[in-house]
Amino acid sequence: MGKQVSSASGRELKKVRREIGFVFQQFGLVGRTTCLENVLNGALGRLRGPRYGVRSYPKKLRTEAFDQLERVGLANQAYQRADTLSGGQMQRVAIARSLMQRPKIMLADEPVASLDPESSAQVLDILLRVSVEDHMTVVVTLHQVELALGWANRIVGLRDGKVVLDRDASTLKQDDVMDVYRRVDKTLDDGRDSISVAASRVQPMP
Amino acid sequence: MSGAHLEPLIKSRTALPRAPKNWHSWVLITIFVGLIAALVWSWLFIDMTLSTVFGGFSDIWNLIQYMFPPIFDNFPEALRTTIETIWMALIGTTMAVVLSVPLAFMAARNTSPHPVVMAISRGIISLARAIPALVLAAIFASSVGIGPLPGILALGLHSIGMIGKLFTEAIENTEATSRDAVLSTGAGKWQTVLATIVPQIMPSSIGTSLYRLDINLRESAVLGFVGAGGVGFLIWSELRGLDYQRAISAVSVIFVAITLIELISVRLRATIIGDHLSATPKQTSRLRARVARDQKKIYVAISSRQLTLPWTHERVLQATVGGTYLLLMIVALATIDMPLLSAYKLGDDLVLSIGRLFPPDFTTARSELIKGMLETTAIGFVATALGLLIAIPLGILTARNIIIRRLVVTLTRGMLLFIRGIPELIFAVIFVSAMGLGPVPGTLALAIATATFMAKLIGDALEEVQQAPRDGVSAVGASRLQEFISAVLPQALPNLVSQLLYMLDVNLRSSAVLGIVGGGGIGFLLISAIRGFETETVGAIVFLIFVIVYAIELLGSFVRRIVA
Repeated sequence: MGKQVSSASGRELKKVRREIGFVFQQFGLVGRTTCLENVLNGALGRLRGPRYGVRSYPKKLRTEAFDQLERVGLANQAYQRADTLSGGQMQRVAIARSLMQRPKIMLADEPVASLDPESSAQVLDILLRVSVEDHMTVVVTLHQVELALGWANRIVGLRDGKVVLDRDASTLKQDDVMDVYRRVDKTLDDGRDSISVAASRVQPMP
Repeated sequence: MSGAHLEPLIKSRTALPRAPKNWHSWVLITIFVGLIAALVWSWLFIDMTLSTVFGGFSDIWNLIQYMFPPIFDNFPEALRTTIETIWMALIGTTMAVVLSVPLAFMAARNTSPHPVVMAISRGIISLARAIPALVLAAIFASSVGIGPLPGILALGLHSIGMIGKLFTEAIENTEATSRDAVLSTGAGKWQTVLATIVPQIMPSSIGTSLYRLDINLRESAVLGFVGAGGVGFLIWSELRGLDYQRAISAVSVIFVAITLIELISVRLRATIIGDHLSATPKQTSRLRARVARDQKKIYVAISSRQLTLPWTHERVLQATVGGTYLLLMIVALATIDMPLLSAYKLGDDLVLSIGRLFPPDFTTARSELIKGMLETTAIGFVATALGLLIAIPLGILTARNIIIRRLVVTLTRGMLLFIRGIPELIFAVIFVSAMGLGPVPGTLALAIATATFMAKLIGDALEEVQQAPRDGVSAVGASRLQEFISAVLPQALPNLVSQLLYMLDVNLRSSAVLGIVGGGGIGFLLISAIRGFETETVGAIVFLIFVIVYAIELLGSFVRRIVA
């Protein structure tokens, strides 16, 4: 997309945000509203003017939101309040909301850090599937090396903002990655969280 | 605190250890001593002795006997003006909510467009809070004319103080992740506010508005004292004509209205905020059945891919309440006796009547101004202390988790609700009629109102204490009283102290208007200045009230910060 995000402002920044889907560690759903409305919020960037309530969105978008919920396997929860869901379900709704903005690339910041192993697997499955179906690059930061090895097809190790590892996942063993962590343990003793494994599924960048 | 404080304690086992004091506790002690000194001075200033108080009560008892049996031949007029009172409260509260929403978004730290806008909005909200509605009503009645209109304007502007403040706090308390998440999808600022912040503040905002409607109904019942419409004018003229049997019948009509609406509003607020604390097993089973029905409706809606929300219980409730509100507003606006002024003319009048307060004139009535302000402050202090004294036992009696006998709790709560149904200014008028002009009847009236309000706050604060420490103290064999003193009181105290300071600030404002009915303080000078069109003296009085109320508010928030 070739733009400097940090210096973009106003309309331009909004356009950049629309093109990048972002999945948060803490989901960021509005608890008191329904899942459908949370997903619809993802379409706000395409709409003009503020919206309140499911009815204020066009019918076509409501159908689209239903479809996105279906993709993450939660269409049955469409009219459930978001704060009644489990953590894993909330994250899937959040992914559906990101899909609703039709992003060109998706970034997920520790999307499974507060989830149990089974929900984590479901969330990563969904991220993998949408990247294949929508021909979209998905970049996921993870601390769990096994998860990265299991789902990603390219693994990048970062320390202090520098790339210390960049390999195809199929040529990589657990030990190689753990090595990165081990080295970090020696060099950093202030407990700073400065290493992450970025696991991306590469489809050709547009 | 560092370990340095603790070290000597460990070394010298023979000496009794003492808790080290930090500067916080010294500041609090200073404030406490200062408040006690102010109280003693106040007591002496208004010359309140036990004999005047008890003599006063026998005078009041005599007057109450004059009121019976009530004569109800003024019932149609009392009903008509009571309904007018309700419409005034409804329209006034609506006006305040409409004005408060933009102000609150401009005043909240997380949505304000600019720090300067934020400071100005906060200033407007504080100013609105500091000027009593009755004062505004008296000022507006002299500029836009007698009738409900000045009353509505007064309620609408004064209520911004509370509604705007609570809305602002609600906006600031919303969580930020969902806002960031929706912003990250490329939504605009106001789209994001509506999608993420508004749903979060909705229940508390409705609760706040309903609560204010309650307060405004009480308030609008006495606005007629200064010619601003409602039942107050009828009560006022009957009391002035010494027609006590008819006055009490008018009071009882508004009393029934206030009590009924408070009961409805409490129920509604509990439903909206979702208070299931007091749910009985029968209610719980009904709740379960309702949830099951809702689930079924949702299931049907989803399997048929319906694109609108199904009519769950919650939605039906919301639509019913919303529809009823709209209907009432339409009836209110259609039937209330208001001159059809253009908004332009009205705005002009308001700006003019506020503009006439400037520049404030402190010199013409200098000595009355000083005496009146001192007396108002003194009344506020004594009434708060006296009210607290009565409120402590009553408050304990209303706490369900402390008093085991349900009957005692129910009776005390019922009695408090009964007394709260009569606005304090009506108490003041009756007491003044019985005891003659002066600060003592005003103080007593204010003390009674304070007691009923504080008792409720104390009861609520006690009910919020955690159970675990109490169980711990009971487990080591403490008696009920010991358990109360060492496990309940320390938990409730910080909350109670800040409530007490809030009460003091409310009472200083209330005591500023007591003089309008002859109950002492600055109010007498205020109403005569308004009637005599000495608008610049009015400006000076309003300014002084604002300064005192604002000072107490600052003190209150300072103490809250330290105690918390």
